[in-house]
Amino acid sequence: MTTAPAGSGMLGAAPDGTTADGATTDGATTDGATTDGATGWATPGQATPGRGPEGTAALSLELRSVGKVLGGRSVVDGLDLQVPPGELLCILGPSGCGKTTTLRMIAGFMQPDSGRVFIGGKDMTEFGAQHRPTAMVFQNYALWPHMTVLRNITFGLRARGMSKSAANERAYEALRLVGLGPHATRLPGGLSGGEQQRVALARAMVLEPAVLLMDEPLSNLDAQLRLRVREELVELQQRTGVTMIFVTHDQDEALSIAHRVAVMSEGRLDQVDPPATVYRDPATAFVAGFVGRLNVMAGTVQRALLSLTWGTNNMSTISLPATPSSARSGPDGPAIGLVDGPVEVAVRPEEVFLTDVTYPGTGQVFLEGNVVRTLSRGHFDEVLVTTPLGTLRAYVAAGTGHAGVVRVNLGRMLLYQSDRLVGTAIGFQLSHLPAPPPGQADGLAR
Amino acid sequence: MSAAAGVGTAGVGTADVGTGELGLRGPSAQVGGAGPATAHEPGVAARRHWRPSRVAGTGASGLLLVGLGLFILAPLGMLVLWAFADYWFFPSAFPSVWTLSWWKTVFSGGDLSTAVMWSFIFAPTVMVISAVVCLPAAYVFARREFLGKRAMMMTLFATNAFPKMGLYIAMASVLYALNLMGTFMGVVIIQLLNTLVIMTWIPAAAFASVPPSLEEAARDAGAGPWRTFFRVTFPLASPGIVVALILAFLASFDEAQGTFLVGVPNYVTMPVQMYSLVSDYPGPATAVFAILLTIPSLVLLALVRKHVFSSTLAEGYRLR
Repeated sequence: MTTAPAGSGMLGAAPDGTTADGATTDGATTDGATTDGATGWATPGQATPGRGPEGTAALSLELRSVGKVLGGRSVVDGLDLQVPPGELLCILGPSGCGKTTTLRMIAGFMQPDSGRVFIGGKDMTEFGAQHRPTAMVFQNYALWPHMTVLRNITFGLRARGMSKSAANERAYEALRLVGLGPHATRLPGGLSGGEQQRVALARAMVLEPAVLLMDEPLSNLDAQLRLRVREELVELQQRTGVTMIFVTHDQDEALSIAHRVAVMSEGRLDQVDPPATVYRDPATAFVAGFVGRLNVMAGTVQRALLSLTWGTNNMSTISLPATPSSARSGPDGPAIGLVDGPVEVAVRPEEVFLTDVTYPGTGQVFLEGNVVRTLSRGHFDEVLVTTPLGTLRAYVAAGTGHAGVVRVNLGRMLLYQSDRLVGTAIGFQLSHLPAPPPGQADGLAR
Repeated sequence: MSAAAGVGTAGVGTADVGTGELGLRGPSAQVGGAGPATAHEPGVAARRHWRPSRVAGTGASGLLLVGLGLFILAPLGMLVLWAFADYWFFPSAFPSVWTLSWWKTVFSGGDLSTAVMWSFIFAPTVMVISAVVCLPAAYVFARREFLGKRAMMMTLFATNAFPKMGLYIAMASVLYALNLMGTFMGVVIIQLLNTLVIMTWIPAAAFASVPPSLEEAARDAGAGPWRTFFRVTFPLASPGIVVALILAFLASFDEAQGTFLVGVPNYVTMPVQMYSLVSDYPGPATAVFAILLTIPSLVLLALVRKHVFSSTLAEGYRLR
């Protein structure tokens, strides 16, 4: 094996593709959210966005450097979040990251220790849950077990002074919407988990909240039901246009239903972006690791060139052009640039490509590995390959049947320095055709 | 006398049973089936009673059951017989001459009917006052964390840890100083000593068992603190509260020593009257009185069983 010069072989064409990727994704971030600003629901009175002196009236919800200390620990730390009307935002994070605390501060069950909470443009920081135009669907649904389904739903309407007959009418309508009309007179204890969940949803929706809050509402359902209810939720959100904040620790759930995903870690929001962006350009190493699977390797950056080195004697090195990320360190902070030095290189399993070594080498550098294990995942195979860069996980088409020694090609790589996304690089990919003659820069198929 | 003991133990039996739902089936089931004093014996017998297949399974437990039944019921049976006996001498198993005269004696005697009256005035009064004083405290104990919470709860419990008479005498000196000896309020205060712990501990456990998220859901729906309490928290905690109310009623109803010390001669309740009955009247009159004393306990325990722990209600309260 010899060391490949930077511009040689299949690496040459990389820059164009990469720049395009890096630049567009961040631009799309902010747009995606605001486009669905339609407000289908008509809410008399309470939910009308007020002309708050400080709040941004166009936003359903705004958190300004909200912080909360519980038991001496900073659970939520200087959180900023803006949610336009009609958006379905998922707060995604592991247990104990502060996502539920954040939701409880939005609902008004907790007062933030610092910062302000604006709902519909109005400063609601000092208001309790009773006076906030929010409605919550609890993780355990929190249905009142001694009240019938109907009374569970009319409770809030009656508390807001609606007459009994009007409240009943609205409740029946809501029950019909969730398909539980015949169950109106039953106690919640006699309903299945899915039905209870729908009652909880109807109970919240009937109040026509400015913001609907959901605290892991699907976590108590079994897998099949969860998928179905998830789709129903999306459908309901589209139909009503209600602004929805959905807390979950299930990345799959977040990526599939949210307009934007806010990934939270240790009391901070690491990234707030559309699902595709979160997956494709995870802003921090934490996000990258939490959302989707990842292979991590060590590399170095030297004058915008990424070097991956393997072998015992620094014998094999590949240098690739690296594209700095256009992300900024804060809303007004400086752009985060590539700094010369060590870098963490992360590659998604679907960006690891395997080729059987069926054709002669062409004098270029190839990363080779041994297939350790192939797991069928249904519509694709998961292959573990030991390479000099470490054990890599690759997703390949089902039934490809790689075995023994394979050539490993890396696609899009994410570069992290100090746990932040600083750039990307495109690796090289061999076609299944015989290797091109050396020096010809056509190897990059992407 | 044996009836007095029976009443006392019935109260104690339900007290330790009030903490666990399962245990409550025991005594209440027996109340329906057997008699008051059986509440003293643990739920083993009751559960066997419910599921005869198990009893049949082991002959030994059957024998035990019969033995226990005799042990508990025989004295009670004697009491009932005594209440209607005119002539009853040794070799005969049953009274040779029956009479209702002892009942007439009890109901016509001015002292005795006054005692019944005072008992039925004091018990509800003490029950209501202790509820008013203790329920808010119980809610705070259940929902808030504060310095000295455990110490305060243990202090309440400590009133039951000492011999009552010592406590009453100490209290009496306080009541003397306040000019409350021999007054209605004095008796109420001394009886409250017994009910405080019941009306605090049991409702506190009942409030604590109401998930806070149910209250939060009510607040979230726009209900104020009062609406939340009376529509959500209180109904859900009410089984425990009803038990506490009944136990408080019985504690006051059966209280003798303190009332004797503070109330006599102005306020003589039924248990206090028992003392003088034992010395002044023949045995059968005492038996009649003892039976009268057990009736409220019986009725109340039956109510507990019927309305608070009926399985249909429990079914509705269970979520998943």
